[in-house]
Amino acid sequence: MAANLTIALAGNPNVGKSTIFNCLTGARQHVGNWPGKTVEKKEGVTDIAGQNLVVVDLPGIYSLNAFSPEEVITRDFILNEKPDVVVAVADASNLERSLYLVVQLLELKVPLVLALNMGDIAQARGIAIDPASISAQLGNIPVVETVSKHGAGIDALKQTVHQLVATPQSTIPVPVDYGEPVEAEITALQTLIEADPTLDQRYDARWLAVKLLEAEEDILAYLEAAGQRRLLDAAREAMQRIKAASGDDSETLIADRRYRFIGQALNGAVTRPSSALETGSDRIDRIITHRVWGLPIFILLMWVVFQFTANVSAPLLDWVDGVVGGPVTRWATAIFGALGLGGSWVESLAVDGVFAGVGGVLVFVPVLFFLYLAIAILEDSGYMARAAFIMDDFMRTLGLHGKSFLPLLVGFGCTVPAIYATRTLENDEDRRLTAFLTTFISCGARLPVYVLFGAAFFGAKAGVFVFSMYLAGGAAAVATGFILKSTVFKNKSVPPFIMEMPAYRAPTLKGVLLYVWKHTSQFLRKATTVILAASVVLWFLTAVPAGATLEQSLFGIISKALAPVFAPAGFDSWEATGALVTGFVAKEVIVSTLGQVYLGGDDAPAAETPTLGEDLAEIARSLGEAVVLTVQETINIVPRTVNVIPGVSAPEADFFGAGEADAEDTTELEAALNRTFTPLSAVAFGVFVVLYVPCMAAVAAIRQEFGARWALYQVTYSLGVAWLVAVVVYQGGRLLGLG
Amino acid sequence: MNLRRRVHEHIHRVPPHSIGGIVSLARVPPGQTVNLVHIHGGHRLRKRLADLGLNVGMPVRVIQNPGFGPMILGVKCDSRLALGRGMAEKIQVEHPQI
Ligand SMILES: Nc1nc2c(ncn2[C@@H]2O[C@H](COP(=O)(O)OP(=O)(O)OP(=O)(O)O)[C@@H](O)[C@H]2O)c(=O)[nH]1
Ligand SMILES: [Mg+2]
Repeated sequence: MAANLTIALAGNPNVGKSTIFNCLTGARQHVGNWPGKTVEKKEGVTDIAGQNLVVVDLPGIYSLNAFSPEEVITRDFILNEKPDVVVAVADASNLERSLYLVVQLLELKVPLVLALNMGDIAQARGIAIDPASISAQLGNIPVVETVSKHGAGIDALKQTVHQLVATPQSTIPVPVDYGEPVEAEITALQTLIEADPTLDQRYDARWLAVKLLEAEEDILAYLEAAGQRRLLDAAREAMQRIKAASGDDSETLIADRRYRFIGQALNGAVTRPSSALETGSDRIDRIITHRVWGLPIFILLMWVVFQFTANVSAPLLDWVDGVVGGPVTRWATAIFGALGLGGSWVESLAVDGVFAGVGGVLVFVPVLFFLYLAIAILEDSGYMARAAFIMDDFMRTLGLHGKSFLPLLVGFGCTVPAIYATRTLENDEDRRLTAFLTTFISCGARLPVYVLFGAAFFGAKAGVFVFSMYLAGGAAAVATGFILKSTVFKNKSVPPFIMEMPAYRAPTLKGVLLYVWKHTSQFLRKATTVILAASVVLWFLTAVPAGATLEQSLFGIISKALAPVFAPAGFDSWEATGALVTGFVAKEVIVSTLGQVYLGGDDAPAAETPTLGEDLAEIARSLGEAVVLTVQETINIVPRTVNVIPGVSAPEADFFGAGEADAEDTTELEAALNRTFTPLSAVAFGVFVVLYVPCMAAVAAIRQEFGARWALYQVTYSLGVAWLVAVVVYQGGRLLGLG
Repeated sequence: MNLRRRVHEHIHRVPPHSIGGIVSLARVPPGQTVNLVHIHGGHRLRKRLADLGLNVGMPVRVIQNPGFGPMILGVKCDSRLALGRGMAEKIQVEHPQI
C-alpha cells in the first residue's frame, strides 16, 4: 500500500469544494461565490482515525470533457494520478446538474464518495432529499450530507472515506444504459479495446468506448498519437451509423441518456414544492442585471468601494502613521542610545532604512484592509458573476467576452492572482489578451502611492484623485484592448458567453475575514521580506560612498542619470526617478523609497520628549478618535455620493467639529513631496505609476503562463504607454495653464 | 425520436426564425418554458452546452430576455445560466406539447 493515500475533491464549480478542503485540512483556500476561483490543484493533509491522508482540492469542472486549462488540470489529475478516493461534491440545491459529473465519475469506476453539500440552501428552498435512496440508485456509493460552510457533516465524511479506504469496494456496476443503437456500438468498440493490452490496462474499456463516441477531443488526440488509427476509424464509423439510424449525434444521445438516468435516480429521492419557479435570486437579478439599471448600479458600487478604501481608511491610516513616525521611532532611537549605538550606522540603517522604508509601507495596511474587505463582500455575495454578465456587451467591443471581466476584477486586489484567474477562459488568445489587460488594472499595491499623493496635493479631494487613477488604468486597459484586437488578435473570434450565475448569498463573516486576512497578511509578509530587503539595499546604495550626501550617493548618481527621461512628464527629480526604479520590485516600494530619500536623511527635531506613559496614553486616545472617525467616514459615503449629483449638497457628518481638511496636519513626507512636485506633475507621476510594469511577481506570473516573450512585450509596452500618457497629461495640463 | 427527426429535417429545409412553433431561443419572452430541439454549432459547443444542462429534448425556462445582450436561463430547475445572444440565436426551441 502506498505510504500516503490521496483523496481528491471533485465537483462542479462553486459547489463548496474548497470550503470542504479548508474544513478537512485547516487550510485557508480562497472561497467565494462565483465559479472558477480555484485554478490550480492544492494539496493539504487531513487526519482520519490517526492516519494522515493527502487531500487535493481541484478546480471545478462540469464534466470530464475539459475545455479550459483549469479544467484540464482536474480531468488529468483524476484520470492519470488515480487518487485512492474521489469525493464528488454536489450542490444539493442544484442536484440534477451536479450529478452529471458524478455519473461520469461512476462510469470511470473510481472509488467514490458523494458529498451532498449546501444542504442548508436546499432546505431553505423546501427541497427534501433522501440520501439513502440516491445511494441505492447510484450503485450503492456512500452518500454524506454536508453543510461545509458551518463544518457540518465533515466528521461523517471523514468516517465514510475511512471506511472506503479500509474496505475497498469492488467495481461498481455500470449504471447508465445508453439504449440502442448506442449500446451495440459501445459493445463493439469495447471488444476492440479489450483486444489491445496497452489500452485495456490503462483505461476501463467501456468508459473509453463511451468517450470515443462522445468524440472527446483530448482522448482522440491521445489515441492518434498512440497510433490507434484502427480504433479511431472504427469509432468514426460507429458515430456515422448512430447518426444515420437515429437522426441524432451520438454525443447528444449519450448526454440525453445520462440526464434521463439522473432524472430517474432522483425521482422519489428529491421532493420539492411545486410553486417555487422564481427564486429570491431571480427577483434580485431583475434589478441588478437589468439592461438599463445594471450598469449604473455597477458603477455606483465601484464608486462606493473607492470611497470606502480611500476615505474610510484615512483616520486609521493617520493613526498608524502617527504611531510609527512618532513614538515608535523615538523609542527605537532611545534604545539605540541606551545601547551606546546612538548616531552609529546601525541606528541609521534601522531608522533611516528600515523604519522609513518598511514603516512607510505599513502605514497603508488600513487602506488595503478596507479594499480587501470590499472585494471580499463583492465576491461572497455572488455579484462577481453578475458583473461579468453586465459587462459582456462592453467586453465584446474589446474582442473579449464577459468572463474575461472576472480576472480584471480580481486585478483590483492583486495582479498576480488575476493573471492566474485567466485560466478559466477557454482559448489561449483570450487568456493572453486578458492577462495583458489585467496589468493595467490598478492593484492594491499601487493604492498607497495615490493615497500618499492625493493627501499631499488634493486634501479633501483625495478621493477624486484616487478614483481618477483607477479610471486611468481602466482607460489604458480599454485602449490596449482595442489596439490588440485590431492588430495582434485581428482574426480572433469572440467565443460565446456561457456562464453559470450562482444564487446570491449573504456574505459570511468567516469567508470575508478569511479573504481579508489572507491578502492583508500577504501584504505584511511582503513588507517584512521583499520590502525590507529593498529598504536595506536602498539604504546601502544611499550610504555609498561613505560620507557622501544623498545626492552624491550611488543611488543618487544612478537616479540622476535616468531622470532626464522623465523631464517631459514633469517629474525629473532624481528622487522621483529613483522611486520609480525601485518600484519594479513591488509598487509599494515606491512609497518606502520616497520615505527613505525624503525623510531618512534629516533628523526629525524632537522638540519635547514625552514619557513612555504619555506616549501610550496618546496612542490609545488617538486610536479611539480614529475609530470614531472611521464610523463617521463610513456614514459620509452617503452624502458624498449624493453630492456628486450637480445641485445637490447633503450635509456630511462631522463628529469632532474639525471642519474638514484645514484641521488635517500634513505629514512630513507630504510636505517634502510638495517641495518637488506640483499638483500637475503629481498627477503625471500617479498616471505613470498606474500604468508601468506592475511588479516582478506579476511579470514572473506572465512568463510562467505565457512565456518569456509575452512577458517582455508586456514590460516594453507598459513602460512605453506609461511614459507617453504621463507626458501627454503633463504637457496637456501645461497647455491648459494648469502647470 | 421520430418527432425529433421530423424537426431536424424541417429546420434544415426552412430558414430559422420562420417556422411556426419553432423559434430561436433568443426570441422567447421571459417566464416561458420551452423545449430544445436543435443546436446549430460544432461538436465542441454542443457538448459544452450539454454539460451545462442544455441538450436537445430538454426543457429550458427563460428567466430574463431583454431583447438584446445576454439572457438568463433556468436549466434543470435550479441552475441559472447566462447565455450570450449570439449563442441563443443558434438554439432552436419549441413550446412543449400539452
Ligand atoms: N450556504 C452554504 N454555502 C456554502 C456551503 N459550502 C460552501 N458555501 C459557499 O459557497 C461558495 C463557494 O464555495 P467554494 O468552496 O469556493 O466553492 P468551490 O467548489 O471550491 O468553487 P471553485 O473553486 O470555483 O470551483 C462560497 O461562498 C462558500 O462560502 C454550504 O454548505 N452552505
Ligand atoms: Mg475552489
